[in-house]
Amino acid sequence: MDFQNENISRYNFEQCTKCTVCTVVCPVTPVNPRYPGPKQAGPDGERYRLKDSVFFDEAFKYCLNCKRCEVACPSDVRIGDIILAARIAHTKSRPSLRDTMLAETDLMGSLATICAPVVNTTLAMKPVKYIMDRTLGIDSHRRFPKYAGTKFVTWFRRNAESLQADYPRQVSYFHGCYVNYNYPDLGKAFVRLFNAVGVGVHLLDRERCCGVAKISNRLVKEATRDAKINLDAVRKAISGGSEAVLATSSTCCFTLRDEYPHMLGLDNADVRPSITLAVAYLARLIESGDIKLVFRDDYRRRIAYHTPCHMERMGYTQYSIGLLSSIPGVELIVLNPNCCGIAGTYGFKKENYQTSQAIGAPLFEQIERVRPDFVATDCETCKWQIEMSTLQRVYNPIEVLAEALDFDATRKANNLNI
Amino acid sequence: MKFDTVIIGAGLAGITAAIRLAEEGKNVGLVSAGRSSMHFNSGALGLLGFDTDHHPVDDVPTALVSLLPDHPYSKLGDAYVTRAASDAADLLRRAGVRTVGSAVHNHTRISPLGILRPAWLTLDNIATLDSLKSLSESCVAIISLAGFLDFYPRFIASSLEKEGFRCEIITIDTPELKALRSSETEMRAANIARIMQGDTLLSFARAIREAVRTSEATALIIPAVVNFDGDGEALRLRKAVGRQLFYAPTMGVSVPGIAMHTRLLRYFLSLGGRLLNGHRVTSADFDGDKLSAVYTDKFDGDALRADNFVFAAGSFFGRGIVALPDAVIEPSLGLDTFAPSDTSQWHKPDLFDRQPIMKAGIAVDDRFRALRNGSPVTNLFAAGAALAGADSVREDSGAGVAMLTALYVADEILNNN
Repeated sequence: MDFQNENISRYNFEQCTKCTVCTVVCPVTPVNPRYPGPKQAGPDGERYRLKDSVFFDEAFKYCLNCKRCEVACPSDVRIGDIILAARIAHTKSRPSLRDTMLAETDLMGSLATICAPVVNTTLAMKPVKYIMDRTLGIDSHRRFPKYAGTKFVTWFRRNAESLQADYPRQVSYFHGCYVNYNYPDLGKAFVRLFNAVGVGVHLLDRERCCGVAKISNRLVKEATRDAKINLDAVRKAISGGSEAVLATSSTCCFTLRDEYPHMLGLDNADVRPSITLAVAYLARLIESGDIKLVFRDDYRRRIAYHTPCHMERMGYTQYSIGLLSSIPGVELIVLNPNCCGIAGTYGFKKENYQTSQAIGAPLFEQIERVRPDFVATDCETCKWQIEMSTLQRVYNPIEVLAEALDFDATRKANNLNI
Repeated sequence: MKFDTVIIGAGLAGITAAIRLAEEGKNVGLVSAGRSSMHFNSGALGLLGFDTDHHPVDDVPTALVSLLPDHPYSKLGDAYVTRAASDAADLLRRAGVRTVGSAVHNHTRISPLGILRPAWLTLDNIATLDSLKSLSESCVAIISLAGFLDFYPRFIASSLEKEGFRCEIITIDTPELKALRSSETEMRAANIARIMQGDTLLSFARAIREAVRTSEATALIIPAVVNFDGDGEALRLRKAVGRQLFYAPTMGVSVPGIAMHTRLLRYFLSLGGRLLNGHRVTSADFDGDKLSAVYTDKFDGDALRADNFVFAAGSFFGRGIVALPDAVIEPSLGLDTFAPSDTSQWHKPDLFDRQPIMKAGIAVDDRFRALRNGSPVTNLFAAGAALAGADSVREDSGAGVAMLTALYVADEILNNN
């Protein structure tokens, strides 16, 4: 009897009742008929692949890894995991040069920030885009995120690090590649906001890319190497006095918490609850009465919130929605659930560009219809996609909170004399 | 996270209770562990389709009297059932779900297998026997799509012919449908509906017009493969085809069911309701005879707190209850369940016989407060398929039990505060 109760298959695949609800929410199926859909690619096909990998289909590469199928599944089948694991296990070809370049965010970022103005100008040039399109298969319509001249880490070490130990609480910040190489402003907003409520911010001893791009491009060995470095650094931070390791990117957070154990087989159970999103940490401390946010009287904004797929998968959406709607001058419109279509490096690939834009189209239309002052979302690649495909600017909720905050009043409310 | 009421389960019962409370200005957290069985709903709701002897019900109040005392309707009382059934239809209408039907006399709907069955409410635009009979001519064309396996026009024709209709079956195809068929497992109603917009919809309408040009049918029945949400496309196709047009439900995931789910959820969100999507409740804190907090698999110990809770997590499909080899349990809060204690009594050998296990569910007192260790949890109310006592598939009472018990518990919560 115990055998019957406890014999749980990998990714719960035998729990599938073939109800096909997953196919209803798959963003890819309606726009790319070559994709066999999550039920067929996932638990249905897995039964056959367990016998023979001849049942693997190269078309599984069209899966976005958005995990919307997993959120929709009433039987807790990890459909997205099954498909990604099958791609890793059964794809015959090696990852291409292009896929490797797109996935090596640390390497590319480090090189690019050295001479950011040159790289930014070059990547935006039409002939360069044309060549990248033709030789590498990076779609020429795609706009590359700009690289920053000064990395976030460099700024932090120069301007903020020495002040942090004086605050009553301490956290570590997993800034991720985007904040470090492209958008240090978000990191700066994070530090200002957390300092204002009495929380000192530290960097991890060593931080590598979370590895989401490497995992989805099947560079498992490289991803595992980086993941181990990150998990060691997280453990060191927690044992060194940090209450939590916080990310501002929903996908970085999701990867560290869930993709490491599920896709890389790394046990992170000891630190998983300590790794969370900055908005989750803030919301919990506000509710327990440990910290207070005081907002400016003159802040008036109409904000449209877009839920990133991995935010939804983590179940964290209400943290961001709750915080944003707690700002008195904010009118918050929660956009209909709709994948933006970029899915990290997926949308950069020439073969996916049209699929990517078709998936996002209903979202872009709704944003244009709602005409907010700006869009808020917790994911940087959603930000690129929405900024490229609409007329709107996109900000992370942490930036919005920092922008709306009355810093002096907040410091006073949290009894800070620093 | 703190709410006035936390509702566990976002199926028809959970969303109904959530809407009712949010309409009264309550701060409601709706916990959804995966999509609900509403996605398989054929665009019709049953209040009580079959009596205890499994005869089709025409007059609902008469049939209610014969139900056993442990049935949720018996607990609600016949007068309440009839009154709340019309409240339920009003709530659907406020959410933008327009229906026809009455709580006193069932009408006749056409099931996805073409069987004529009693129904309480049917979505606008969906074919009913009554709407077809109101036509001046009794010649109907049933449109079938090439390669679409979830629709059975021959079965529908055979049922309608017995009712005196002349039926013609016409199969059509368009380039867009052909493209979708290149992944044959994805030729499903919900996927077809997602491409049926703009030019694709017009091309579909042209193909229908062309195919029925020489047909004498005055009315067309087409499978429900056109978006019903906001009824933009369903209505547009009607206009573009230019004849009387009704939709009939399909097998599997159903477009009208999805539309109903989407409409209800959007209405709840528009009232300021908060959805905890993809959360499964795993455990709870009790304080004396009260439930003080529930925990989910997503929040690392961050509790969901509320003054009141509604348990609407469904039956076996929704995992509100789980059958172990020797018992039926409620896995998250440890609530009392009702099921025959002798497992040999769960099933009868004839599949189509009344199966006792189908009436299993959680036990409640006369105010629908859930029981735990034999006594009621005073701020935890239960609604919908999770409740013991109804054999909802056999009776075709699932939607009615869901909505009516949900309205009842919402009123209990509103009146208690």
